[in-house]
Amino acid sequence: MTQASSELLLQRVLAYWQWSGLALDATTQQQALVIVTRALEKPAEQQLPYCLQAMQAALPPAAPISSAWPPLRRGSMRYGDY
Amino acid sequence: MNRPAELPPEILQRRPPWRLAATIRRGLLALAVLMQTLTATYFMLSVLPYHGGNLVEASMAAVFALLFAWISVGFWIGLIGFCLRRAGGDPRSLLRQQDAATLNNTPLGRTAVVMPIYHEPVGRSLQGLKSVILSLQRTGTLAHFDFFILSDSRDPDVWLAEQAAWQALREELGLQNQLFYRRRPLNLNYKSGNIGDFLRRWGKAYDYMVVLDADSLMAGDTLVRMVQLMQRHPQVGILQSSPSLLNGRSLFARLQQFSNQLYGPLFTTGLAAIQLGHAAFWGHNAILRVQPFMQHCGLRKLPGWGLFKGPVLSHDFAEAAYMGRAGLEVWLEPELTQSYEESPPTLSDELTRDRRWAKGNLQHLWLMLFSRRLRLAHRMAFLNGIMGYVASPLWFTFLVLTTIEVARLILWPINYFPEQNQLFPLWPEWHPQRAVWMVSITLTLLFLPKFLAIADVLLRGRRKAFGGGIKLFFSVLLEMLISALLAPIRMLSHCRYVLEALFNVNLRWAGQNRSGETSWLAAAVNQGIGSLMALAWAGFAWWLEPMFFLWSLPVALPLVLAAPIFVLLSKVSWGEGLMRRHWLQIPEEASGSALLDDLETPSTLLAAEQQTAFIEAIVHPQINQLQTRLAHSPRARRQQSELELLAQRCLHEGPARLSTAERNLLASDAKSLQWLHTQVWQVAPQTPWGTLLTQRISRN
Repeated sequence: MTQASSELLLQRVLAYWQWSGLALDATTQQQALVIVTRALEKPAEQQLPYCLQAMQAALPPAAPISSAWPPLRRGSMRYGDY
Repeated sequence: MNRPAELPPEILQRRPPWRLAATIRRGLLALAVLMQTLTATYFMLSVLPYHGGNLVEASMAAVFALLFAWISVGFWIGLIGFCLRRAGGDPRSLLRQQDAATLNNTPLGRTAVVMPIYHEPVGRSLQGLKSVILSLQRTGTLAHFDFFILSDSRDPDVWLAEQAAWQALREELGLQNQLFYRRRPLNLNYKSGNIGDFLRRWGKAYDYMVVLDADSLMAGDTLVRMVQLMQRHPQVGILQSSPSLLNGRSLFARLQQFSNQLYGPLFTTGLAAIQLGHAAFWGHNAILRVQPFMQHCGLRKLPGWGLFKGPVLSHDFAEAAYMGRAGLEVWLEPELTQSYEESPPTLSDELTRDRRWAKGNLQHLWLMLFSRRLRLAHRMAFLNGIMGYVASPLWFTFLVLTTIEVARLILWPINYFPEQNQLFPLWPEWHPQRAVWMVSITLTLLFLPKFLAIADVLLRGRRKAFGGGIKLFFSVLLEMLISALLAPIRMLSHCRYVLEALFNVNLRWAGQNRSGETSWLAAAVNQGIGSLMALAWAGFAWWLEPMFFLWSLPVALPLVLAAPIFVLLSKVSWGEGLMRRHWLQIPEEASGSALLDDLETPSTLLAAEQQTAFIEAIVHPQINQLQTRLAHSPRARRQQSELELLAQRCLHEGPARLSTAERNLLASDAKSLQWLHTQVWQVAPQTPWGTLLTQRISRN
């Protein structure tokens, strides 16, 4: 049971970091193991919330996403007769 | 005539020099068509047993005259195109009104390249746009252009995928401040409404707007040339390029693109020479002058009844007509090369598109008859579009009348004295040699332009571009055979669409299918009734007279075999098999195309997964961040509490239990997206989201 939980937690931490653009090198993998070890010390229902909080905290601040639109330059369409 | 106030009068001459040439050319074309039609109708009357002396024969002659005039216009336009191409091009064309050096030195104006999309394959559309951008980058003029993806998509799995792919593309190209995405919350008035929405928001920031379809490709050089032409000719409101078809994989698409690339230049050259500055706008692969477009081309809803009430469905012809009414010119420039689009992959997809176009074109009848101060040339363009579909019911009527005529002659005794006090008997006369002449003339009108197109290719020394002389010749024969098979199938479908349009049957304005084959079941269901009708007609013809049965075969046989024709033409393996053997080859396949190479370069964009975009938006940390940023801010408290309940349901029951509308609501709400993301990463593995998450991780 403990084994399955640790696998699940490790899988999620690594996936989350990988999708967040973090390189999964030896250091990050070690960090992941530390998070999972600490999570496993907590009651079962707190393990996943703890992991999420810890793995999000370990991520660098996200780069701002530039606007989808340029500044508005409003004009109007004219509807003439047929 | 109205003159746009924004253009100085010295620029807009009262009568531009091409107007006289246009009048002469159009007059000569009308005369040629009229003379040819009158001669053919006279022949037709002499072929009929009573020479048009009864209602059935008179009606036959009338319908024949309309149809003959229609194909005669096509014939003369093809012939004019051939002659002009042999002469080195039309000296009146816009491109030839200045030399290349002058054009090259013309500075560019600010241009927005807009791509309206609606439930299109996301990967293909954005990869196409990427090809256009890369091509412009190679010209060194990219800074003059901004790009807008204008989405009307309603399905969250589609628009979320669009947003993710757009972000990936602008990051890849480093165009954070030049490549934009806008999705309308309400897609009123279809594509023209989408363009109008763009213009109202950003139109004033641009001199020109290039409109692309989701499958459009245009080379950077072509775009730059179009902007330079607009800069040189301030009286031009719209400049339409002549898009060629390419990138077809199925047999049907390859046939379409082969005929388009081989015969198209003749017809577009001829058409451009007749229309000159009164050409039509085809809705895409064109550049428009923004300010007068905003001032004069807003489309009011039609005020009539039935079909003629509500938004204008096919907006492009109407916009060209309004631009012309405002005193600006609309040009078609066939010598602007490297402008492309794709053919629908199957006949079924083409007919689905035709169903919408038929309704849109028939709506133009109102504009043609009741719009004030439109140019005659633009009214004729409306008529041309209407005839594109009305020709089918006319042909159908001709077949019905012919069957009645034959049945009457065979089943009823001949009345030699149809009128009272008639002194001499009226003998039915038969002139089989004239009938043969009639058929020969009609076939000549239909097929001669195709042989002229071959001659044009051979005389230009471009046979290798089409696979070599022998393969070109046999490809044309194959194309002609399949065109002949398709003509009756299209005719019957168009008859249905015209009737649906006249009875104002509501249509779903869906995005086009740009991939996939037709299944046997779908083909049989769609074409079953037509095949049974054709079988019954052929059986009746056989019972009446075996000779009439033979006459009916060219129409009846393709209809009987419609289902297999649909399926086989949709086969990608057949199309690719012919491509490997250089049959139905087009020049881009022989000499290569940088645009096509860019389009086919493996890219993460092409893997944009529409089916799982909602799940990705919730699960994937970076995509969730993007979608949250693009979504709405929290709404009113009441709405927010409803959304919270919906998000709870989504979390506990999984996304599959939610309707499209419900997923749309959640995906549009930043708070819900963020909350679901946080919750999903904390759920147990055996819950719906836990299972999805595990599957997604193991797929990685």
